[in-house]
Amino acid sequence: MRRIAACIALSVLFVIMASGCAATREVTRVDPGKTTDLSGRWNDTDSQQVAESIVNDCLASGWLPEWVDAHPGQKPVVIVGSIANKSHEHINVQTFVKDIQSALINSRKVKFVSSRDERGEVRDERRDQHQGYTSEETRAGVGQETGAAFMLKGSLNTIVDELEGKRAIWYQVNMELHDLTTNEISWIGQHKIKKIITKGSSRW
Amino acid sequence: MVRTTISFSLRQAGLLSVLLAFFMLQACATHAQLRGRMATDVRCGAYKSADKRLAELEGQSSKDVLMDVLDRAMITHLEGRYADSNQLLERGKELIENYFTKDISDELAAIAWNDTERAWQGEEFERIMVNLLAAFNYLQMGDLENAAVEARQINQRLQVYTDKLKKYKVKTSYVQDPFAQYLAGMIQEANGEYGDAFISYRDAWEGYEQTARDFGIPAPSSLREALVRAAELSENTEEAAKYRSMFPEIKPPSQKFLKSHGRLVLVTSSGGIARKYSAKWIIPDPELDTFVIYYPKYGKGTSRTRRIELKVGGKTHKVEVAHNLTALARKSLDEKSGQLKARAVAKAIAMYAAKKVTKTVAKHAKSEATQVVSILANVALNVAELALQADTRSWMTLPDKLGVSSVYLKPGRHTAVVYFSAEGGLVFDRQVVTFDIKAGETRFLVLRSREPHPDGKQADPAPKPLWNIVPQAQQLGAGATLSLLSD
Repeated sequence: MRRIAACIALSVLFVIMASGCAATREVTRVDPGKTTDLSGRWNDTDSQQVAESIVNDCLASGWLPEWVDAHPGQKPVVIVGSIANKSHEHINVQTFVKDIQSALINSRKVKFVSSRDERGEVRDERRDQHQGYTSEETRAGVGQETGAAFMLKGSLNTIVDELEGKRAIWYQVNMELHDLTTNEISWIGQHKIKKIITKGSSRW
Repeated sequence: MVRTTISFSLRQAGLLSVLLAFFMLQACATHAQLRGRMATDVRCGAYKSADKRLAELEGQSSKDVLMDVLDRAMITHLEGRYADSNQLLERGKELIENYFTKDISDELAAIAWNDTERAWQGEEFERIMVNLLAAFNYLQMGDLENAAVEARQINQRLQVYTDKLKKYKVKTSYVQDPFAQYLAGMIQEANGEYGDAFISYRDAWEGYEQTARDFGIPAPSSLREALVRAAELSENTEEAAKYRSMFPEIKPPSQKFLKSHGRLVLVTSSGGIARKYSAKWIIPDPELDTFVIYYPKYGKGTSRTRRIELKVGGKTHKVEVAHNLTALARKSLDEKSGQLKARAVAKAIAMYAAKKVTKTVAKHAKSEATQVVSILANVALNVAELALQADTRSWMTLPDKLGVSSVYLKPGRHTAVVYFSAEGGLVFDRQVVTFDIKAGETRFLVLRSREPHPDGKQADPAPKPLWNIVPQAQQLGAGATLSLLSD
């Protein structure tokens, strides 16, 4: 009888332990501003930090007061061009472009126009408004788009050094502001991030 | 009564262990055979069938996860689902990264018992093939920027690998992967990164000097021109002069010609990489006990492809062999065979000694209980020995060889026809792609041969590049039957 009881107790314990080992998923909501470094790769925190730093640097540079002096009462119009991914990682540069756009708009120091890809959709919509279905009063006018005076473009580069489970990654974002009228480069800036990733050599 | 049972056990112990081992081995063999059949389906273009077979294998062993993922990535690539294939390859890269951290319990099990107790991590050349296949996917999607990321990862991985070889003073024939470097260079050049392209071409050239010695595979002739061209495009006059004098026969096209023409780079995969099998070395002793050493060995490659030709722009171009994966796999295994055999010998000695001990204890046991335990231990050891096979796991769906051809074309619409021929010039597969090319543009076309299936299965359609917006003029489902080269 004691043996049977012991067997039952052991079986129950085993079931409890097995269910404890079963795969469970836990979801925790975190502040989007909180840094979450999991793999060591380029992440949302890097994208936001670099975008803010680059835009602050760009807007604090001498080209802006010079332009405002030459164009009293106006704000320069900026467009974000291409940002080439020349790194070792598959980085979605579109999210980085969006972070730059967001930092530029929030600065309120410059005006901002939609990019080449976005313009196509906007133009399609405007064309559709002139098909006769939209009231004349609410139709968007044709030929009134704002032209950009400057284009912000750049590249995202990495240098990787690695040995025996230790990896150092330097991310370097280079950005340039091109004057669309004169082709002059009005500003050059860069932002660097360095990360060290260490992998354990063994586990049980 | 007990005595009778024991004497029966002694007589039947051998038979029992053989039966147990037979069933254990049968399960392993079925598993390996199914993977082998899946690899044959891939080689012969029966992708749907390969997909079904792989679904049966997936998840059967937690130690084979990487192999399942890479086989799935290959099949998905050949089905033309390039983005899905890349997702799998990224998962594969993660697993490889994680395997850097050794699981001590797996390692102990592998040392004490069988190498298959260790998660399969792939050989170095197989890990480079993960990046190459990902690059192929991006090229088929016309995404040069992300293909260039793979090219950088290839260079990085090879750099880390060669640093490690230097640190531990390891001598191996797989020091560089010249084909991977060559492809990286072509992607970088197409992406306008001429300086990086030149460095990749130079590394590829140096790598091919070694493969020419080790495997009889010299650098493709197009690499010579690429070296001079990239040196000039990157305005590296010193290197350009050096390579011009090294290859006086090469007349690289002028800048004007390059700007007014497009370029098609064809990368071909053909056949199936050789498969490993468990070879054994049996040494009997006077008491009829066996001393068995199991070690992995490569069988023959299974490629029927002997010649590949590209017909485009009114000319026929030979596709040159640029990578022999079977030869590389064999050489890599040969170089490790000393280490593998030493481990196998140690295991065999331990097994032999344990068997001797249990037999002696059984023979001289004073109590019946000791005798029974010794007999059972001996049966277990016999079973263990028979199941002690070598680790024959590999990425079986890889091709046997890779080839390359680079052709300048006038801007406009072209139809490329690629012929895969067997011995005697018999064409068994013909793949046709119609495409538009612009001046100054480089397009990559990645195709795999579909060899005749041993079971007569019809080949599925060859995958199409997604950058090719022109409807395919002609698509043959050839592969099941051989036809004479008539085009």
